[in-house]
Amino acid sequence: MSDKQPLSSQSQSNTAPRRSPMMASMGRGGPMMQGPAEKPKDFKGTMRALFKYLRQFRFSVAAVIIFAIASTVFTIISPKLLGDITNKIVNGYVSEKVYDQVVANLPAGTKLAPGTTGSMVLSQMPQDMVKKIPASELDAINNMDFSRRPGIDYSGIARIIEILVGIYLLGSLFSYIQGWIMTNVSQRVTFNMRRDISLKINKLPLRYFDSRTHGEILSRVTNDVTTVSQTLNQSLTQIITAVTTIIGILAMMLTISWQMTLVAILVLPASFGLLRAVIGKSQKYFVDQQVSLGKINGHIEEMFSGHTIMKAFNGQQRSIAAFRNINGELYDSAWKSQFLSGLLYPITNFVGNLSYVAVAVLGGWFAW
Amino acid sequence: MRKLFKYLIPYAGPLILLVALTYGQVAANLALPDYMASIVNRGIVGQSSGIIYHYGWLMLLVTLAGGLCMVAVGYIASRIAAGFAQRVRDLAFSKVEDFSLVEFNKFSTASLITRNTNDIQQIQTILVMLLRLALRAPLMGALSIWKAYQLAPSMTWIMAAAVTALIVLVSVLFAIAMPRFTKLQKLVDKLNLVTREILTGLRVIRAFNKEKIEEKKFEKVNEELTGMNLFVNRLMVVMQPAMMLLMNAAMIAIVWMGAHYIDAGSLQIGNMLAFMQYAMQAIFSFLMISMIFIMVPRASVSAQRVAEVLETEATIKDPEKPLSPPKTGGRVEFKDVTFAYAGSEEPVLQHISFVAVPGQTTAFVGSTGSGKSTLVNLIPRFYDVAEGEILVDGTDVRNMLQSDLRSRIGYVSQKAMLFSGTVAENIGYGRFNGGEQEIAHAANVAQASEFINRLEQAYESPISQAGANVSGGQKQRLAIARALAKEPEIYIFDDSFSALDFKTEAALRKALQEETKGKTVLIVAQRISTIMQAEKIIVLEDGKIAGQGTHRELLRSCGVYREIASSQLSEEELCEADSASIPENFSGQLTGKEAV
Repeated sequence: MSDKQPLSSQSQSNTAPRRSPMMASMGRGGPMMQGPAEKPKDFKGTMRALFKYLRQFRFSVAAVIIFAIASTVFTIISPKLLGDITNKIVNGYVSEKVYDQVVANLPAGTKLAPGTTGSMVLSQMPQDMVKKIPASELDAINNMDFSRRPGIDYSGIARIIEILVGIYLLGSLFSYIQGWIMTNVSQRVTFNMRRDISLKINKLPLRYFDSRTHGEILSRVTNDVTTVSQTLNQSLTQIITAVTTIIGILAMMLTISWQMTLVAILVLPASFGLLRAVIGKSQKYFVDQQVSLGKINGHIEEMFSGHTIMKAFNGQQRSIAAFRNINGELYDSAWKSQFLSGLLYPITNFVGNLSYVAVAVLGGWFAW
Repeated sequence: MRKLFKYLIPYAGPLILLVALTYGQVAANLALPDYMASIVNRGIVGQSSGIIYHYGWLMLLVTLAGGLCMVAVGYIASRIAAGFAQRVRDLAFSKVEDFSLVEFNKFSTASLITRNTNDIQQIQTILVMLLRLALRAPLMGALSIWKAYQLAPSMTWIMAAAVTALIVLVSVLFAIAMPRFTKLQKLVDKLNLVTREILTGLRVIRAFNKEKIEEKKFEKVNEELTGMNLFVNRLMVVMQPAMMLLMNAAMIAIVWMGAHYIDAGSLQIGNMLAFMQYAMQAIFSFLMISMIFIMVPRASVSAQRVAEVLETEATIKDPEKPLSPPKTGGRVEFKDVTFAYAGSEEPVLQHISFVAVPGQTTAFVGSTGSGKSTLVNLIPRFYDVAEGEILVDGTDVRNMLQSDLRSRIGYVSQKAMLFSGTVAENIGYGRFNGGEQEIAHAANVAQASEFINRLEQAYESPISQAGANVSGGQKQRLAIARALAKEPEIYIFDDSFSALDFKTEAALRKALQEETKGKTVLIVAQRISTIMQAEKIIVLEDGKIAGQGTHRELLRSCGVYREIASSQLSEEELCEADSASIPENFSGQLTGKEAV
């Protein structure tokens, strides 16, 4: 999922806790629709320059990475622990039920001394009853301690919950600290960039400014720098978090069941393939849209700036006709690119649900 | 925002379909935990593998259906949003093209441009999001709560508590952040302003060595902006961890209470698991809803700005029963005209009366601010007069169709304005039917053919936006050619020769004299030398006519004119004019002498 379309991809991120990019982009009069931006002229060089700005903060960045990994690890462990709780509940409940069932069929007044095992109890039961018990349960019952009625292991669960609470609190704390530090870093970097630009402006030869419109240079100071800081803020942490999550979750899944993990992963290549095809197609329309937008905005600027002349020479009809032309093109590319990029979420959702179904079925089958 | 809703009405049908499909999608998504619950309850605990497969297939089908619904929703949403934007853009643009200069002054050109571009963009973007989310989130939230309640009514309070806590959290955060957001916008504007100032005044700054001061100015705004950004972002950073904590706390509560209920036999295990999923969905849906509430005000501001444009009526309109007088050479008459710009108390022109006769050149001179440009701008009816009448070809300009009136006028403004296109397209802008010859001829008269033919593609050479790739003088000549190519009756030259050197100007004027034979020519000039030969010169001062007549007459009778002339012409040239007028003073004697 390309991060170059922040707004359209936000509507796709339904995975709750991990995304709050909407908040960061609130209140900025910054760039709105961003399809594929201009291709960077010198990617390596630019990245090196960016890193120079970050180098000043390398300790902070390191801290961010550490905290991000830590909080992600916590996020990954917790479902496993929750699963453990669920298991305890299930086991306790099932044992209870079995106990109740067996005991109900015992002759009245049977004494159950401590140390009575299931096999002993069964031997006292009418044989036709014993035959009714499914073979898979026989084993478990034989080994059960029948002196006490089993129950849900509340103390065990309470212990796990204590651990969980600790993990949650720590995880949230780390996440907060990491966000705080990252904000600091990106804001300072932005500040430094802007300051450097202002200093450079006064050193550049006048010729540089003659060949460019003010708007262009202005947009670098405000929009472009904002984009850099926004991207730093979001993308850096996201990359770390995402990578850690993938590795961690895979590990967790494997500890639970390698077969289910396999099933869950099997759907991935299919979804990648689909996604790539959709993104590829949508890129073309995004480019078209940007071009049309550029054309229409240019036309509007021109016609409004030259309004007097347009009126004086009766150019109104022609201007509107030209506008309608471009507007039509814009409509085409706009809805197509929106639609295609909007497909990304349903596709991932569908593939995710497919996985979910497979895992649920398989899980049920295994449990049984 | 509401004002623009009426443009959504044509989409009522698709919108209803959208709602239905969204419901389908939501229902499908929410059915899955249910099925999973059944798998757990009946399949695992109840130990029946048949059930597991049965529900497995069901889930697959439902997932597919849900996915298809989602795709359909996306399709409809995209088309509606794009169509809406297209319509609003069209309406807004047509509206503005209809505007007179009065409206342009009211809004400012820059603001109109922003409203038609950025603001509409904003609205479109947010509309798409709204269509996709604004319907889904509440539905999802409501349905989740409903289903959860059905599963385990006793635990629903946990969900309610979590949702309430979430809403409180979001509200508090944004109550603090919202006013800062507005301040943030203003600071960005300020940064823009300071930077733009530095850029426009670059030469001045360097000439006066004020770089350090400008840097300090910039630094100050930069710091303010960064500081505000820091505060706001730090606030927002609280959001995510807090939310996660909330959700996790809810999960723990559910699991703990759930265990007890299961023990007591009032809750099935699968149901508890499903309940957890519903709780998550519900919390998340409410988060989405609060996001929407935050997005809408932003769109509102843009919507308001666009609505303002759409609701403004042009003040200069065509009359209901227009007259179209025969073209009789373009006689222009001002009858006691008084004019003031909107919102201004002082009139710019007062009691102006004159006649510009076909076949003659009528010139206007005066000091800066005397109202010369305003005067000629009234002729094409760029503004309406407050008192008096302006007649063209004998008819009040207000009684003619604007297009008719302007087709009779060839207007060259002070600052030449060209459009992007070829040279030929620019010169031919006033013509509706080709005319290569006329274009070439006009270029010739305007002294422009020389440089045009030197260009790579001659008349097909491209002109970039605002004519950035030609010099000032070339721009003016092209603008003049444009007016000439129209072959109008009335020629208005508003100080249009200022960028030309004397030689070119002289050649131009000579050629113009030929070209405009029999037509009405009005020239506004700063240079007396330009209009010395005019048949009628009108001197303006403080919006009133200070004198009318030929150059010689005015030198004698008009003090204002004499002042202007003496400041521009040398003693010699003044005397020349004077001596040329001597025969009229001493006509008796000289004639006598000559006769001898």
